[in-house]
Amino acid sequence: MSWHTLITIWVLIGGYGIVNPSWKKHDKKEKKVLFSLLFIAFVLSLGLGLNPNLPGLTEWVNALYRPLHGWLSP
Amino acid sequence: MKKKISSFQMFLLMFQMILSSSVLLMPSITTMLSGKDMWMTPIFSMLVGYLTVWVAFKLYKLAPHGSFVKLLESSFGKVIGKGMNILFIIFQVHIIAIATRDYGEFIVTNFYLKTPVYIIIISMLILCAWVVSGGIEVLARTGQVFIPIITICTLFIFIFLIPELDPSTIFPMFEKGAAPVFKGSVVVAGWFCQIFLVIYILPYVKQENTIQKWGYICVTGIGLLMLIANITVFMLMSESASFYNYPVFTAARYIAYAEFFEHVEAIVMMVWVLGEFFKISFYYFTIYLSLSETLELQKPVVIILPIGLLLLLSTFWLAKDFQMIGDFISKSGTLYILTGFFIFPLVIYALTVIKQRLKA
Repeated sequence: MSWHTLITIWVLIGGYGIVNPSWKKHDKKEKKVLFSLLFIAFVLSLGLGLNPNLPGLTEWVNALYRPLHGWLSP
Repeated sequence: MKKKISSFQMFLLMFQMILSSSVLLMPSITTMLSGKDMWMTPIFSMLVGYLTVWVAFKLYKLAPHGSFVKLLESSFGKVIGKGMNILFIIFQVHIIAIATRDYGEFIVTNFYLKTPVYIIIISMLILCAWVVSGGIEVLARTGQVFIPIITICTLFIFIFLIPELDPSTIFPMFEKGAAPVFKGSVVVAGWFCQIFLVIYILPYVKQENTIQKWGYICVTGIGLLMLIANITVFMLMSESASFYNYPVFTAARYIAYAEFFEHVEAIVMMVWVLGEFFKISFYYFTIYLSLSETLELQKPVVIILPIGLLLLLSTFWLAKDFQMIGDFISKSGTLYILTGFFIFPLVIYALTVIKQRLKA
């Protein structure tokens, strides 16, 4: 994903949060979880912006199951 | 938990959740692995489906208030239980990220060639977020309206292809022995085992005494439709079906009656989009439900959009392009899905039963 796409998404999220402030009425715990998830998403989007080919679970799973790749080959 | 949906609605949701991607993707992969015998792979894989339904129902009965999340916590302790729940959620995010990216790539490659794939994915995720915020009842009622339409349209495509089929292509049977059929069946079992996700909605089903029956009917129905899809595709294309990413989509292009009834691939697109909507919504709902129960949130609706955002980013992080998806599915994907949705529940069930018997 390109930087301008990521920035657009975050601006829209910020705008939605301002226009619809229903999240402010929730408990402290729920707000903590909300902002924790948003923080994880922010870190992930930074990572994808800096390195679009950021290695992830798929590469790790492929490496983990590499000894068994031959089982399901034609 | 308030009982909100009927067993039949549960059946429809699970039916479409499994079939949405399998009918389009399965014929190519099974032809590659099993050759002429690819059509019989769903028959053997149904056994995995039946066993998965049985395990899901047994775990539901063992779980406190029917919650799989609470079962893991009560069986393995709060810390380990929550850790297992988080890992299972990450697993589900991984699977649905790949499925969502595959959906986006199909639409962009075949229909909206100039539209960026993230537009397709974002529009689907926003719709799914809206449905999830309405609850399982909204999803179930939407399913009641659209899933019969999807199923009838899919069957019509196969019926219209009958004049083009050559039954001799499936002979001789077991030409290369049982091993290729076994390999193909393992791949198809990777779809059937996803029916384990029904465990998250079982607490919402009103008629508890008919859950298992409808679960087995669901597996039988899925197997039947998969069998029809495989036989139709192979009798039409023979072993060249393995060269196409979406053989059913290609097969639909063969349909042309009286120079009027043509371009049926548009119906395939409709079937695919609606089907994937149910699959993505269901996974989204189970991720939202399990995360809210793991974190013990009172009003969890606030986390729906952040989960959607994480799903969106995951489709670009965990499934970078179509080649990566194809590579993953053909190599590790099947074994990975079977580990998460088949082996893991069986192990949990075995350990929980042993623990309960030792306590007694």
